[in-house]
Amino acid sequence: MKLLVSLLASLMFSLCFAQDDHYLAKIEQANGAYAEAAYDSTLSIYTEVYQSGYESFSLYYNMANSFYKQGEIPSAILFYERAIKLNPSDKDAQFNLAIAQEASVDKIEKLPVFIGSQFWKNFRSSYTMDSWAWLAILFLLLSSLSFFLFIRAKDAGTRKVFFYGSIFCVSLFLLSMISAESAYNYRFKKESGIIFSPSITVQSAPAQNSGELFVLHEGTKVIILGEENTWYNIRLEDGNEGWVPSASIEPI
Amino acid sequence: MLLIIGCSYSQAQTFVAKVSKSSLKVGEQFKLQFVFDEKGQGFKAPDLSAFRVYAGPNQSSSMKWVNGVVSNNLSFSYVLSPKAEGNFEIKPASVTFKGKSFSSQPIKIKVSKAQSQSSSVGQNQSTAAQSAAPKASNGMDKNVFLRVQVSKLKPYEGEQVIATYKLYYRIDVINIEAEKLPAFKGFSSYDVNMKNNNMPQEIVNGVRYNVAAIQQVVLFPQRSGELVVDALQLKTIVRVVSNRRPRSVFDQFFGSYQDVEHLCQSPKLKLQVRPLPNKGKPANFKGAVGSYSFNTELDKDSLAANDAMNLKVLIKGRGDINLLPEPAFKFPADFEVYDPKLNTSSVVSPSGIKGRKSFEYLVIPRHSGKFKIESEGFSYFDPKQGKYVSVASKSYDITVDKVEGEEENNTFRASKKEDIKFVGSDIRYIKTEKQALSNLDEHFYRSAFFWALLLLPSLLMLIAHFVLRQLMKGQNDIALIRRRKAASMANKHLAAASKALKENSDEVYEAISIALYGYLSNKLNIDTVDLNRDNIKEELANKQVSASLIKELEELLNSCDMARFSPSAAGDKQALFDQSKSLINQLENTLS
Repeated sequence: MKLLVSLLASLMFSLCFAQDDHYLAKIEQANGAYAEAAYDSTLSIYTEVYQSGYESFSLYYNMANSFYKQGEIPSAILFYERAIKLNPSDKDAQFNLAIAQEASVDKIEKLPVFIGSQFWKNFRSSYTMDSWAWLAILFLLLSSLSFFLFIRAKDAGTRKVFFYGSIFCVSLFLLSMISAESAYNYRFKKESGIIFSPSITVQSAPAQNSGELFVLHEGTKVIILGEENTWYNIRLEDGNEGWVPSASIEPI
Repeated sequence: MLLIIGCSYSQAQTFVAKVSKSSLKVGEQFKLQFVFDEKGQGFKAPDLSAFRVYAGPNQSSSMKWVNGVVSNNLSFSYVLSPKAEGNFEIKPASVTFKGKSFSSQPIKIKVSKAQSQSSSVGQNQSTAAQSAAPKASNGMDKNVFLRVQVSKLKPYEGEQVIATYKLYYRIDVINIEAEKLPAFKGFSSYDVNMKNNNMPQEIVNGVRYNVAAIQQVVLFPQRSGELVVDALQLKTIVRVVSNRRPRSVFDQFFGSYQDVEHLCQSPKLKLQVRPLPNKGKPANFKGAVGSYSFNTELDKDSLAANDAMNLKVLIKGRGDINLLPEPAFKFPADFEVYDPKLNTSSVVSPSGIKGRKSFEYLVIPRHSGKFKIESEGFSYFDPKQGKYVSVASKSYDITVDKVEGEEENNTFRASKKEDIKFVGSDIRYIKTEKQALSNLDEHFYRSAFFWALLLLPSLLMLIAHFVLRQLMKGQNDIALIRRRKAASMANKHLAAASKALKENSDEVYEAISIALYGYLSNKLNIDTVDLNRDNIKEELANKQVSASLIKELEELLNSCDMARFSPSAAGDKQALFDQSKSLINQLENTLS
């Protein structure tokens, strides 16, 4: 079995590197252009790689930097947010995002984040989604093993040790699965978005002229609570809620 | 002259302007007064720029009570003197009372030329001396006047200039009082402490004057361009022969004298200060002008770490000693250098400033090694030669020894670091390291491969469990069969023994022995070859066979073995057989 796992893992890695080589060379070329402040061509190369269906933290981060340099603040914010999604602990991305947000129009007071949820977010982002998946496999394997040994053992003391060991491993397995699932949702569910319309009036219901609540400008981050036809139910970081046409928002 | 514009009504208020003289000479003082006969507010003075204001506005108010009628009085007064000749008009002043504004009447003043205008003396400086002594007679400026003399009219920036204020007189001066001392804007100035005010007599315009030095100042121009040496104003009291008719015999005899006040003012002097030339300006020039000598001295060039040494710099010479800049040294970064101790001593004499300035640096090396203190040297501009002079200074090689038995790095130095100030707000640079790209839709979690890997261990465990169980089952069966067959096998062997017993042959011992060992081998699931006394005893004890039974078995096995190898010594065959039979039965009962 060990052999099987290592075989599969090596297969996956080799696949990754094989398909990336072409695009990695392109990215290198774009990085060179960035150094010479040729943000136009930099951006077109990054976008090409992105549209081919590839992503990486540094690709998003570099794209965001180029957008910022081009003065396209909403795009810059969007891609910083995407980069942070992939690697929430990177300080540079957070720093640059803060600067880009300074350049955006709306200044929104953030509600204090509940400590527990912040702790959970930090904990979850201590590993990537796939790492959590591998940990889940590992812990399930360990718990199966200890359960097996629990069944086979004749001695009462040994049985006790393996019984509790297996329970411990099962709980770790469940934790890993929950974390992986949470990371999956965070990564693929449309949880938040960036306003791209220069100015948009937030409505009280998913219909035009249903009641104007407040005005948002491009570059503002909103939390997407739900979707109805072509409307998003959004919440601002200060707690205000409303509806905006989904075309005006680019989900992160 | 007194002018009153008034109203005939009893309750009317009047605001009047009056002057003590309406016709006067340039520089003559007069009094201007505005009087209002109520408690007014918001006094606005007219434009008095044509006059020199000596005093004022002085405000005074009074209240009178006459026949039960209260009258107030408010007045503002000035002491003025006209600056130039001509006809002037003092414009109305205004004051408000109960919301109404009152204006005084304008006053015309005629100013005639001052009587005397001194001719230029000595250095051809134009004078603007003014006489304003109220009681002084005409032509007093010819008798007493002030002059300022400078050692140089076109000095370099920073070059010393000696300015001397001299009083020329040919009548008795009884008293001198400084009216206005010069401020010397744009210079750094040092007063010369004069021991003797008297100077040799001088002849000006053919007239011999006594001369007294009033003030002597050493000036250093601080910038280039036109600088003005301020005027000094003196109030002198001089004794003159009176023109009055003699009143007494004494007067007739000695002549009559009168003490009069006379105001003297030195002319303002303009200096054209030349900037220091750019040509040949040394890199380490820091603004020292004069002539200096420069010396550095280090008290030791080899010392232990954390010991202190002294670096002394001595600059001696002529010039603005106080403003001498600190010489530059390049100390090794590891050295702790304290701000230098400054020591300045200078003498201000009529020939200029002479002195010395020392800088004493306390230096503490914190680490051992060989170091070098480099000096940038010292350079100054010598205005006499009109060029820069550089004095090179020595560099010092210093050997710092290790301190025995002491940690070297225990430096305690005040941190000179400052927090990094957030200057700009540009984004950070892009990530240039290669990072593997992943497909947007490809992820390991939730993939089929993931689920397979997740289920695999559980599946493998189940399979292993069942396989192992089957295997164990088989093993258990063999042991069981052997255990079950043990008794019957033993019986077979015992039957053979019983046959031998009937024949009374010695083979009976061997048959009993085989029956016993075979039984134990089968019953305990141990091969006959591996069977020995020790593991038999151990296994039986494990299976809760009583100690007496084990002992009995041991004795039986002993007697069997003994009988096999020496049949003659053996006891009753029948008894041994019976004993074996009953023992196997007992074992069978306990073990099954």
